[in-house]
Amino acid sequence: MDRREFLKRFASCGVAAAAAVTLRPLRPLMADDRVGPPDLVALMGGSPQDMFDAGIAALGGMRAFVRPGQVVAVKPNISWASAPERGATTHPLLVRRICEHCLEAGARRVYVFDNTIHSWETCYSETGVEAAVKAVGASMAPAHTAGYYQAAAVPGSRLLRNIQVHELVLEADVLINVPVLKHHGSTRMTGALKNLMGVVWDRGMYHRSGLHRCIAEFPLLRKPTLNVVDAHTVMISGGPQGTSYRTSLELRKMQIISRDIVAADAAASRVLGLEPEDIGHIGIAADAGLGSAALDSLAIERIRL
Amino acid sequence: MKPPRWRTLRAGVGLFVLGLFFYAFLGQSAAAVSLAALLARFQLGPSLVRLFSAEGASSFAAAVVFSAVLLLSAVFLGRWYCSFLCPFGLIQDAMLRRRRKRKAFRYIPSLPLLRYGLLLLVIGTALAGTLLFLNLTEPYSWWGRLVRDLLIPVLVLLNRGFTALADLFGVYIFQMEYTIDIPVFLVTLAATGFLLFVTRRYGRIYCSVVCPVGTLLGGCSRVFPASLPKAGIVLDADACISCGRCEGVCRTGCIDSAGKRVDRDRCVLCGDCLGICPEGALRYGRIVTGPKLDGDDGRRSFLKRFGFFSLLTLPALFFPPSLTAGKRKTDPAGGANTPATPPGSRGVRRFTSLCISCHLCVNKCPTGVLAPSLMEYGLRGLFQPVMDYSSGFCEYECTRCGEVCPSGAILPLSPERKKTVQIGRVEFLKDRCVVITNGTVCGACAEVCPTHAVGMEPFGAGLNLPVTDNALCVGCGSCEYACPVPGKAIFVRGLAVHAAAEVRLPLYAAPREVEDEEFPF
Repeated sequence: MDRREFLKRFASCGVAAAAAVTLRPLRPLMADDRVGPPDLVALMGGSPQDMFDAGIAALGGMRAFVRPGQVVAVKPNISWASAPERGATTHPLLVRRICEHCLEAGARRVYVFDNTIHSWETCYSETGVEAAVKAVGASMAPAHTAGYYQAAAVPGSRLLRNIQVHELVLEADVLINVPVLKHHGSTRMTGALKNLMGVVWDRGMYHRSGLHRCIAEFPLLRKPTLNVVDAHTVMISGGPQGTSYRTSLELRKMQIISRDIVAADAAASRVLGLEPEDIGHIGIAADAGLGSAALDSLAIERIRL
Repeated sequence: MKPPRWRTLRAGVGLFVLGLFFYAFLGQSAAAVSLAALLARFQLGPSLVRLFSAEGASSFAAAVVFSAVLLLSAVFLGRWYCSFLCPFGLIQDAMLRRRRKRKAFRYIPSLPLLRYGLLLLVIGTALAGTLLFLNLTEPYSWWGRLVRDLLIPVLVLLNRGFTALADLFGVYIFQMEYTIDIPVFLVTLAATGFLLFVTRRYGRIYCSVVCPVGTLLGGCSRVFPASLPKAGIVLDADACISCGRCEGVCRTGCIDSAGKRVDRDRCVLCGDCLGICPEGALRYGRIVTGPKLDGDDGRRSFLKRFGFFSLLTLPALFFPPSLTAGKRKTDPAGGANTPATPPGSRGVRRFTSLCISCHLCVNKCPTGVLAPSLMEYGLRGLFQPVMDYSSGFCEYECTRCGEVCPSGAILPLSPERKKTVQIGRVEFLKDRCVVITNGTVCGACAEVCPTHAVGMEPFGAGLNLPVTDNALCVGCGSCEYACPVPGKAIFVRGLAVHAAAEVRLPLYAAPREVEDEEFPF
């Protein structure tokens, strides 16, 4: 029994009764027989936070995703010690607004974390995310030592039989994936699927065993409740770090929100001027049944601010 | 000033200063880092080394002024530094707390031959470019190593236990990060254990016999004529009854009760002896006649010896330079590799001849790339930090090591300037690369490279292969650290003398505004 589980069992006695009252089973939102929310909401022309307000409203508001008393894990891309305007990291105001929505929906705790590439303290602060998150009463969670990760086997995966996954991904009631859309030197694009690489401890294992397939198969363990792709300032080349002379940024003022991680990435690839088929992990994830990359058959709501 | 008041003042100020040192050296906040850099600059050892760092006029002037103030103050006031400013002395004072029932201290013979010989060995070898003896004896560098190599690991263990406990209650506390260097830990543990033992048993014998900074300050208190107004502990030989009480409490063993004498060059002004004399023969005041060493006829003899010992240290000038040529343990190519030194150090030779091994840079390095060396620089560079790309990489925008280095071994660089410094060059071992051996996408190296010294170029079948450009490489080791191949397919070769890296523009160009007519999907 690991320590988190120990905690859970220990605490469950006390909170079980309360939980039983407050937690109701999730209402089926995607029922086929009614006009439900769209598969994907695409936004353009506003600030990251305004676009999120409009986008989440189109999906029925955050209350459709977060129930009162739940624990929410928010995973932005804050891997680099880089200022927000450099487009290497998720915009702090977007992360902040997502946290606000979660807290307004009654979330008990909202944790924001990333297994950063640069040293975690500078990443948390330089990206502006730490300050933004704390300002609204959410918390930054640690992800910088192996102790915060637990062994997991991804069901149905060939390569991810034994990976160390951040405990919040395994335990939080709601997982919100908030990548920033960028060019990537090896995978060509980094978006929603690639962003989840930052919840595992050993990145090198992905690189050794087959990068695209590892990225694609991770959501078999857990699909994010919601994916919010920040395409406001888009690194169109010279990614993902954005410190080279080849780096170019475009102010696209877009955002893509979807429950479907594959659909979100498929749409995002077009923003970079690519096709979903160009990105190895999008195809593998679609084949694994994790979502749909067929943009033509998706119900997309397009909103201009 | 009444005697007990002096003791209280000394203990109070000492405790406060030691507290500052602990906060600054154990803490990892920005305030702690700045304070540590400041405190370290006020240490005599590093200040003297900084005189040779060729850092620039203002820094040189600051080091001159500060060293001069300390040395001149010792002429007039004796070794006050040792009881108020030296963290290693203060920690020995802390070790001596609650010692009342132990055996009384005894007078430690002055041993001028040993003490000044050691000082001159340290100075001579340091001038010859070898800081080994300085680093093995200098008190501030011992303090730095004591904290980073011994106390912080212990603190990390406590922190781990604490975070695990907090986690049981669902509370997140951020764990401390630490890479333990076992050999350095063991050496520091052994040295500290030995220090604790001898200090409890004999008092501040390290300060009294070994410490070159103390000997230097003590020497300053002796070389000038007694006609100068000099203050210190005065023993009135006429009143003294040689009862030995003062000798019994003297932590540096500098009071010779039988000889009715205080050795001023070893007295650290702790004040323990004041107020203990039944005859009132001890007081703090102006010293009228110069005190004498064992069988010493005063200043002239002292200067004569100084000259004699200077000759003895001449062989140190011929300390074989070949000893600098260290070999890195893990050179992926299998050959000898020059260890990379931090940006701002300008090269191996300069770095190893100025670094006092205090490990403050190692302590404050946010990525852990700076690690204590063992034999990477050879024996003469024992414990001096080295860029260890197996434990981290040097962040492109970070300039912290240069900001904290007190001896000028790592000169401060602006982030812009740092980007132009090449401390090593990248080498790609194509045959080991995952892209070749597995036929899968990788690019972990290029992803983290801050300068595009490692890029990815098409290699057929939807694959890209790393391509290196050493004009752009700064030698940060990001690629080596990130490379997932056991034994590494890409690594950094250190440069014995740092070179220039090209900063290819544009760097951080502003985003281009794009007005999308429609969604691209």
